[in-house]
Amino acid sequence: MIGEVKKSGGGSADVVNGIIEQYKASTSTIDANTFVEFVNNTNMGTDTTIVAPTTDAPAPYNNARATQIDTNKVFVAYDTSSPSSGISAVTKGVGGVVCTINNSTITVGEKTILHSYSSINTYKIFDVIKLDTDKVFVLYGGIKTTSALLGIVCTISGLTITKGTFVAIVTYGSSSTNMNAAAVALSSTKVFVSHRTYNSNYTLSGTVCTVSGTTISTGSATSLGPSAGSTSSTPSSVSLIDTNKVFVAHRYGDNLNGLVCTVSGTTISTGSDTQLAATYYANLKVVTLETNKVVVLHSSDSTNKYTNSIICNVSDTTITPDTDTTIILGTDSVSYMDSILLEADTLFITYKNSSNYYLMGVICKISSGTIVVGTGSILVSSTETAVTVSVSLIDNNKLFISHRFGNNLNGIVGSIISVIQESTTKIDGLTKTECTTSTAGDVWVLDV
Amino acid sequence: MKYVITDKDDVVIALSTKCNDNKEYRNLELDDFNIAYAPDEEFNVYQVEVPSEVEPSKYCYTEKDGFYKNPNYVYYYSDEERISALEDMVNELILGGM
Repeated sequence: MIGEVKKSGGGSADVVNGIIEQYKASTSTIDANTFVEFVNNTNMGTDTTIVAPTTDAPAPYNNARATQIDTNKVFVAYDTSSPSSGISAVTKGVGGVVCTINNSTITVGEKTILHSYSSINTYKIFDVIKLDTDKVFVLYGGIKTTSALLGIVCTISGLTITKGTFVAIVTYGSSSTNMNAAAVALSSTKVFVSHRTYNSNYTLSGTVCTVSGTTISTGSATSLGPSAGSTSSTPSSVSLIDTNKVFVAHRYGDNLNGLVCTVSGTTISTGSDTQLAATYYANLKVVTLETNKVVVLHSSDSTNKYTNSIICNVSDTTITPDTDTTIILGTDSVSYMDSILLEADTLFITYKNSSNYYLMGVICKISSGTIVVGTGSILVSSTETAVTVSVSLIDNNKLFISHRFGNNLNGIVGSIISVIQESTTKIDGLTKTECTTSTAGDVWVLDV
Repeated sequence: MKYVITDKDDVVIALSTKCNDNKEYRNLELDDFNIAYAPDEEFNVYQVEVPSEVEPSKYCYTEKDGFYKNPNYVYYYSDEERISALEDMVNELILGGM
């Protein structure tokens, strides 16, 4: 039988020449006028304010990060720091809020101040880690009076957050602007943290934290890699690549390096530090593609701010990096980027276009060591200065992205439709059956 | 009297009215937060009178020398403070030129 599927009504005369044998439903009912646009594209829900500025949180969008904790449920950590002197807001550290997602609608729970310690008045959220469906680990830094890498464990019931006591994981003896850290869960009771070495601006260490209830304990800090000379900060990104094995990408001078750590108890063993790229600028992110294989994303220079990618294979603790390759996202220059794996060969990247500050999304396919970048989509036409974006996979191909909109911290839900399989057969007179969010499998009915 | 917790370089890292060493979790439990310490990590805990000007990171303490300014302390300027200072400088230049 031969025919064709095409969009009816207005818009461009896009034609899908073949049978879509199977696809995953979007978050909303699809009509004929918009179906084709869903294919290989994203379907975004309404951009929703999660945290508006208040006296307790004047700039909630700064460094905010989110993590999926359960199907269609996320925990968002946001900034409650006071801006500089002259602002009378009480300084409080970080806050947390739980959001549930129904289709693409976001419901926001009660906001909870997680950290209240008035002597420290500048904080930075580094990471939010899911430990379990009812527990998260928030990693953040206290900079100013007491310089410390801090952690707090929170339990979640419904939309309610119960915070533990926050803990100084690493204390730095002098005030420091050069605190960077990243974390990944090794299990529901153990977290690997990469961080600036005690009172050294230029070297990286790793510490394993164990969690009992909401109490955090630490193992010994282990130096990772050599001294990085005159580099003034040690940004890093970590990802779990196998049981008790993490890949750490980090800045090393002007280069980008990687190393593999194995963990036994709270003891860290480190493989050789390997150069991944000769130039590094910002926006570092490691995503595990499969066991012992990662893709490292980074911005390579301050001028173009294009995003580069390096696929790395790991054998034991030895890293074999592929070529550092520029992924040219149209003509976008990228600032603030996050990425997650959708499927084994599909990467989703969200970023702020550093020229117009739009929130963008792009899907990349990885095949035989090559990354093919799709067309970037504008997710939100926000024009605010770029700050941290954070993306979490909350359900099968459904994403939650937190980002700045105005002076708010917003969240937006999107679904990704992918064409699973196409054939070259055309079908006449195909009648579309309207799809709902619970529709799966074949939905096109042949009208003959 | 307060508990004064210093690190291995004698830098004051916390001041607290209470200090309980929870050895099971290796947590020093203080007024507002805990300090998690590794098995090989060194902290010193003193209980002394603390002058009002003493703040963590800015001061060091030893029993021999008492409180003294931390020679390695670096004041942290937030991005907002830096921007504000630059704006003031620019305004001065512009108005000065007029």
